[in-house]
Formats: sequence, C-alpha cells, structure tokens
Amino acid sequence: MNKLVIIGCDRSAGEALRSLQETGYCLPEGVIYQPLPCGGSLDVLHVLRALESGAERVLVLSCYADACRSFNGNTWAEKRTAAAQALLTEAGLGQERITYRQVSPNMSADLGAWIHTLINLEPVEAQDRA
Amino acid sequence: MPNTSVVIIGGGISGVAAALNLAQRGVAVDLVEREPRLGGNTLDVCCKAVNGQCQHCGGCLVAERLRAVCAEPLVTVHLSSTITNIQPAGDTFSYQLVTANVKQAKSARAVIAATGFDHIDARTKGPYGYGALSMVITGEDMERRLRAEGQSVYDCAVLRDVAFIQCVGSRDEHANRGWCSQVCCRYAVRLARLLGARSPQTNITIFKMDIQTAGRDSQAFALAQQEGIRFICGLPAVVRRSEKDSAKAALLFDDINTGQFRTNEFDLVVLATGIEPRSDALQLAETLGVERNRFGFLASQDGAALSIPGIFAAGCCQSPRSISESIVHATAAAEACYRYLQEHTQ
Amino acid sequence: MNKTVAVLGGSADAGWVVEELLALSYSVAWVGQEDLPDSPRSDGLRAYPRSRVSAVSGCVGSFRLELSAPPERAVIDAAAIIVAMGNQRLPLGADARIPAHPRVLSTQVLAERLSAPRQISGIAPAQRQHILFALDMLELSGKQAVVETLELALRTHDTWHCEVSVLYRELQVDSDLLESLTRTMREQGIVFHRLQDALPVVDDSGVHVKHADGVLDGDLLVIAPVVRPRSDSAELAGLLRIALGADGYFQQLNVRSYRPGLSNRKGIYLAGRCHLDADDAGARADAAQAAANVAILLGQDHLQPETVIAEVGSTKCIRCLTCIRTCPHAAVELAAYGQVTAAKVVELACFGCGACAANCPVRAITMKGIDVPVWLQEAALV
Ligand SMILES: Cc1cc2nc3c(=O)[nH]c(=O)nc-3n(C[C@H](O)[C@H](O)[C@H](O)COP(=O)(O)OP(=O)(O)OC[C@H]3O[C@@H](n4cnc5c(N)ncnc54)[C@H](O)[C@@H]3O)c2cc1C
Ligand code: SF4
Ligand code: SF4
Ligand code: SF4
Ligand code: SF4
Repeated sequence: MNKLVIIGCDRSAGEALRSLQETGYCLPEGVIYQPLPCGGSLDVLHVLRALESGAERVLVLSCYADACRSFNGNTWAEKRTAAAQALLTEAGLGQERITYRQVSPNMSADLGAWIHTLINLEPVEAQDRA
Repeated sequence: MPNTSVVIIGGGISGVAAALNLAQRGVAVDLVEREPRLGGNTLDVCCKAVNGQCQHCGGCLVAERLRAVCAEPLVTVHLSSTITNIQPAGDTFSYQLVTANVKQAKSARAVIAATGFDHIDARTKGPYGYGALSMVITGEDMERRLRAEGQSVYDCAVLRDVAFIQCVGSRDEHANRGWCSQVCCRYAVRLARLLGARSPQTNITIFKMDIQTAGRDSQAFALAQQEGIRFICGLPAVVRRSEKDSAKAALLFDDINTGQFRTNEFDLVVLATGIEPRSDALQLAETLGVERNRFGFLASQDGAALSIPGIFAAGCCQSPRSISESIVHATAAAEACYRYLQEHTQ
Repeated sequence: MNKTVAVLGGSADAGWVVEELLALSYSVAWVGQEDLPDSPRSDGLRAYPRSRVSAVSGCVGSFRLELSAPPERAVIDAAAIIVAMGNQRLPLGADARIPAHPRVLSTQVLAERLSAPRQISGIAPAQRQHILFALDMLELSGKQAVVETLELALRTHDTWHCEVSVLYRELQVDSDLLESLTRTMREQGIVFHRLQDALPVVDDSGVHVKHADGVLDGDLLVIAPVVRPRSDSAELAGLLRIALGADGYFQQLNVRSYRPGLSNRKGIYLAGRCHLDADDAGARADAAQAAANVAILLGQDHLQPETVIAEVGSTKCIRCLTCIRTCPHAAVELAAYGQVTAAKVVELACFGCGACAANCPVRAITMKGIDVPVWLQEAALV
C-alpha cells in the first residue's frame, strides 16, 4: 500500500478525521495526518517535502468556499496545491501524486473513502519529460 | 461566580452551546446526556456543499463546539445519564442524576432544558406510503445516509426523476400539527441542489406550500430555480406504486396551472419530515413543573425563560429551529440564566 | 482591563444591545448618527447622539474611536465594539416599476391614515372597499416588514371593516408569531393569494393584480417596504477594517461567522439587521448573542493571544506590504523596530491562520506555536 501524507485544515479535515476515529477507525499504516491551523498556511514546500520524505501521494484538504473561518484560506490552499502540481509536472513526476479536496467536519465517511482509494492506487510512474 | 452550578438536560448542540457560554463565564455546569455521545440530532446532518461552495447548512458549527465542551474544565459531562425528581429547594433545585441505574442526589442553582426534538414519523401521513413503498424515503433517511456513507451515495443510483414533498407532518392544522418545522424547506432545497449537482441527469421536482426563504442565506432557493429544479405549489394527495413500473412511485396532485389532477412518476420520493416535540416531553414538563404550548413544545414566557423562575429552555425543545438558530437561542438562554444567577446569588 | 464597550448605530437593534450590556454591568458608549432612542438611564451609559466615527485605531482590548460631533470632538477607549446600525427601508417611489398613483401606498402612509380620525386623501375608507396588501412585490420583503405588513392588514380589517386580501410569493411562516398571525387573519376572512410575475395595473377604476388563480381587483394597493443595507455601511466598514458581504450587509456570508455574529476582526461583533434579516424577536436574540460574545471576551482576567500566531522577522522584512493586504483579520501593521520599520503582527488580533506567512515573498514570517514538524518545514528543494 502507498504511503500517504494528508495535510489538512484542522477545523474541517481534523474534525472529520477525529469523528471517524471516534467510531473506531484507525489511520492505515503508512498514512500520516498533518494538521494546519487553516488551509491558508499551506506552503508549496510542505507538499514537496512530504513527497521527498517518501510519500507516494499527498492529499491536501481544506474547507468549502464560505466555510473557512479565515474566509479565503481554502482558495490559498487550492492555489498552492496547483502550484505544487505544476512543479511536479515540470519535473516529470506526475501531478496525480497530489490531490486536493474540500471537506467539511461532517464528511468523515467521504474522508475514509478517499484515504482508502488513494492508498490502493497504483504508484505513479515517473514520466519522461515531453 | 464561584459555587454556582447549573444543570443542563440534553447534550445536543443547544445544551452544548449553553454549557460553553456559562462555563466561559465562570459558571460550573453539569451537562446531562441520555445517549452515550454528545451531539443529538445534529450527528445525522450531512454536508450539503455543492460545486465547492458551502450552502450554509450549519453542519460546520457542531464538531468544534462538541470538542470544546469536552475540554472545558468547568463542564462535567454525564453521558448515558438523565435526571429525575427535580424539586425547588429555596434558591436552588435538588435533583437525582441517574447513570445506568445508579442514582446520585445533586443540586443546582438553575436548570436549562435542552432536550431537543423527535423526528416526525412519516407514517403519520399514511397516503404517502412511507414504510410500505421502498422508493419513498424521508429527508431524515437521506441526511443520515449521506452523512454515514458519504456524498457520493446517490451518484450511481439511476435516478431519472426525484420528488421532494414538503411539510410532511407539519403545518397540518386538522391533525393539530399546525406548526412549521422551519428546517425542512432549507434542508430539502439544499439536498435537492446537492443531488442535482452530483447527478445532472436527474430531474427534480419539489412539491411545496411556501418555501421558507427569508434571511440573508436564502440564495439556495433562487439558485435551485435557476438550476432547473421544478417547484410545484400544492402537496400531492397520494403516493402509490406505479402500475406501469413497480419500481416507481406515482404521485397524484392537483395541477394549479391546468386546474386538473395529474399523475407523475418518480424513481425516488423524499418526504421532507420535520420536528415534533419529544415523545417524553410531557413527562419532562411534569418533572420540571413547567407548561407546554398547544403543540407540546415547552412554553416560554419571554425568549428562553419558562414558567418557573430559574428554569430555562434552549433550542428545539421550545420551538423548531436550525442549528445556528439553536446556538443563538441557547446563548440567549444562557444569558438569561446568567442574569438570574447574578440576581439570586449574593 | 478597560471594560467599556462601544455600540455603533442608532437603531432599535442597538438599543437592545445596550440594554443587554448594561444588564451585565458593562460600561457602554453608544454612538449614533441620529438622535438615539430612549434608553434606560444608567451610570454605565454614555450616549453620543448625532455623532459619527471618524477614525479607529488599536485592537481588541484597546480600541480607540475618534468621533466628530459638532461642536466638539470626542474620543472613546473601548475594549470591544458592537456594530448594530440596522438596515434601511427604501421609499415606495424608489422603484419606477411601481406606478405612482394615489391608489398605491406604502405601509407607512396607510398606517398614518388608519390612525387619523378622518380620511386624508380623496379615497375614503368605506366598508365596501377592498384593500390589497402586497408582500414581496418586486423583491422579497424583509422578515420584519412581513410581520409589520401582516399586522397592518389585520388592523385595517378590524378598524375599517373592509375587505382585505394579501398577495405573496412564498408566505413566510417560519416563526411562532407568523404562523399564529396568518391563522388569525384567515379566520377573520382575510384572503391570501399567490402573486404571479406581473406588475400591478392601476387606473381610475381601481388596482388590478394578477395572481395564481386570476386577477384581483381592489381599491387600494399597499406595498410592503423593501429593506436594504444602510448606505453608510461601507464607510464604517472601511474605518473599522471589517468586511462587507457582496450584498452590502456586514461580513461575508460565511457559515462560521454569520450567526455567531463575528466580524473578521477580534473584538468587533455584529448585531441585528446590519448583518442579518430578522424580525424584532430575532434581532433581540441576536443582541443577546452579541452581548454574550463580549461577555466571553471580557470575562477573562486579561486577554490571551491564540496558541498559534504569526511573527515577523523584522530584519528579513522588505516592507512589501503583502502580509498587510492578505491578512483576513486585519492583524498586521507597519511598526518601528528601533531604527527600522517593518511589518508587525498584533498578537491579540492574530487568528494564526498563516496566510501571511505563506504569502511573504522573502519568508520573513514564522508561525509561533505551530506543530508542523521540521521535516515538512525545512526549505529543501526549490
Ligand atoms: C431531517 C432533518 C434535517 C435537518 N437538517 C438540518 C440542517 O441541514 N441544518 C440545520 O441547521 N439544522 C437541521 N436540522 C435541525 C437540527 O437537527 C436541529 O436544529 C438541532 O438538532 C437542534 O439541536 P437541539 O440540541 O435543540 O436538539 P437535539 O439535537 O434533539 O438534542 C437534544 C439532546 O438531548 C438529549 N435528551 C433528550 N431528552 C433527554 C433527557 N430526558 N435526559 C437527558 N438527555 C436528553 C437527546 O439525547 C439529544 O442528544 C434538521 C432537522 C431534521 C429533522
Ligand atoms: S455549513 Fe453545511 S454545507 Fe457548508 S461546508 Fe459546513 S456542512 Fe457543508
Ligand atoms: S419548513 Fe417548509 S417544509 Fe417544513 S413545515 Fe415549514 S413550510 Fe413546511
Ligand atoms: S509580506 Fe513579508 S516582506 Fe512583505 S511586508 Fe510582510 S513580512 Fe515584510
Ligand atoms: S496568521 Fe497572519 S494572516 Fe493570519 S491572522 Fe495572523 S497575521 Fe493575519
């Protein structure tokens, strides 16, 4: 199974994960959750470092538009994820390794399903540069 | 305010919001919840965001408050517990805290009832066939399923035509159920949009009396109309199994535009059921010695105060409300309670 | 800590906020551009009628508001601010689609006629008259306008004993008050019709309005007021550095701040109809909520910053002002660090969201107290 790093806003992703855990769920081995105080503090570096440290995939999570306590943290998170994906594409590494999703605290079922899918995907082959 | 304590009956969002407010201002609280978990009916509310945009359903307001109340040192949470035998004793109330048949005598300076509501049983509306027809579900079922299984549960279902029927079990004066449940228009319109966005081939029709749209966050209704969700004034008379296709439901309704009865067929019918007083609301009112209004909700004098000084009501046990409105009402109840404590503590 | 609370706005909403705050023994400075409504006499209250805020500085716990109130200027030091300006009602003539005709009236004019002993204009109230009340004629009437118009329709029916009909699009019944009001009205023989998307036609024979089952003919048409955000909202929002929504009401429509009545800045709260559509009961509850927000804030012995906050490395900062522009909570300002000027985070105002740090082009901002492990933070590639 793939190593997966989840970087998420603790107000949405964190709450969703905690309520999943309250029902007895444990994060599968090789999956790490890294909370951020808000999607707005996501740095492109966080994503790249996560891949560099051996994660096959990174899942970035932030709130829906109009549900971010800091109003536009989710837009920053989405933009920076796109920037990280662009860097990967440039390096010929496959931007599919980075996934961005919006989540709310009561979407724990969805979160569980995404994790399951991501760790069971085939690893992304490094592509040759076009 | 040292040495004062308040007991809150019910650990749904209303009880939790009231507890947080009092504790943050130095009042010790016993929060008593009958179930093994806090949260009450909000634990079944699903996220209704569409196309990356939150629809302001209020679901996001719950989780962080539940966690905050557990971390609050002045709040003692009693799960799987309830209270009996409330007696006024001078300026205080004595009561028994019952946890798994173990009784404990306690006292409090004030009481807040936050016992919430029961879902309306759609079977009370017999002609809609709930329970007998498998393609007829309730809004409660749909919310619960989306919450438990994720937003994609209806993606693969082949749903060509879906109907929502509003006011099921509400606004029915003849059945002495003349109240508006206040939440079902809002959740139904939002669920309809969610369904429409996730499965664009589905045609959605909402049968309604009046959509309760007031408020700044009412764009959902306007957007639903723009997105092609059909609104029909008037509620269907009956829902039957279709004679042509037994997997479908046939709805008989009075078409206002032509003045004639028509039948349309649907793959799924969602009954927008709402909020009714708890089945044990009478017992609670008797335990507390307070009055109920003509529909059975706790009757408040002025906002949150009940007919006995020192006893307050918060949230849906007093009247149907949404999550955010419950939080506001619970805050007002806590305010009134705090002021009562100030006046009665020297 | 100073425990004065500044309440801005001369509306009824502000009056309820003041009442709540005084009951909790806070000192209140009440500022309104107009004369202020009567308020409970209290040592804790200082009223500043006919004054406008001209400058605001400071942060939660120590705001300073400068008022320009001819002939003198005043300064208020407040720990927290509650904005409760209310909304405004458009005059009937504001929309050209409504025909100007003596048969078409606003609720206000009808209310005046109703209480006047004799008829004022040419059209006499008579038992045989049919008066139409229209809600949501051009756009949705606000909640309070709906309540007032329905009450007025009932009062007209009771006073003049005339025929009364109510036109609506979606009848709002979602509160105890409205449901029992519409029930009483129906019992008294007032008829409700659903409006069709057509404008009223007015001629000398009467007013004619299309509804779902046909055309309704009446003698007078009374149109419910339309509510809007106040036109001076933007100016005050600018001074306070708080957000306006796209619809012109205070604060974007954000689920985490809307009903708790939070603004984007710490220590500034919103109450009543400057950010919410509500009837009087709803606005009262919102006033209690605003007072509770303040009480929770000021109930602490001294204000504490959040566990995670941003900090600017003054020597790295190139004063590009990016952080000041991006901070959603107006928590960054320029400040002098000895000889140099650089961006500075106001600790008490910072929410710790990290938007500034992630946007700073020279990475001059670090997040104090954040628990992102080193392996994710270290600048490695790039
Ligand atoms: C189908 C449906 C969909 C909805 N969707 C939305 C939505 O999308 N958005 C929204 O804002 N609102 C929605 N609502 C409304 C929302 O569920 C309520 O606003 C909210 O649950 C009210 O909270 P409460 O704490 O007042 O009551 P409850 O949630 O009912 O909580 C009451 C708590 O008290 C406990 N209790 C009861 N009696 C006792 C006792 N005697 N002793 C101890 N504990 C007791 C109960 O176990 C429960 O935990 C919906 C409602 C329905 C019916
Ligand atoms: S408020 Fe409701 S719709 Fe919006 S993100 Fe939260 S749960 Fe989803
Ligand atoms: S909220 Fe809507 S569906 Fe529910 S009872 Fe009221 S009008 Fe009917
Ligand atoms: S963004 Fe960075 S460099 Fe620019 S003003 Fe702020 S701290 Fe200084
Ligand atoms: S972390 Fe930065 S952007 Fe966020 S509130 Fe604090 S100063 Fe503003």
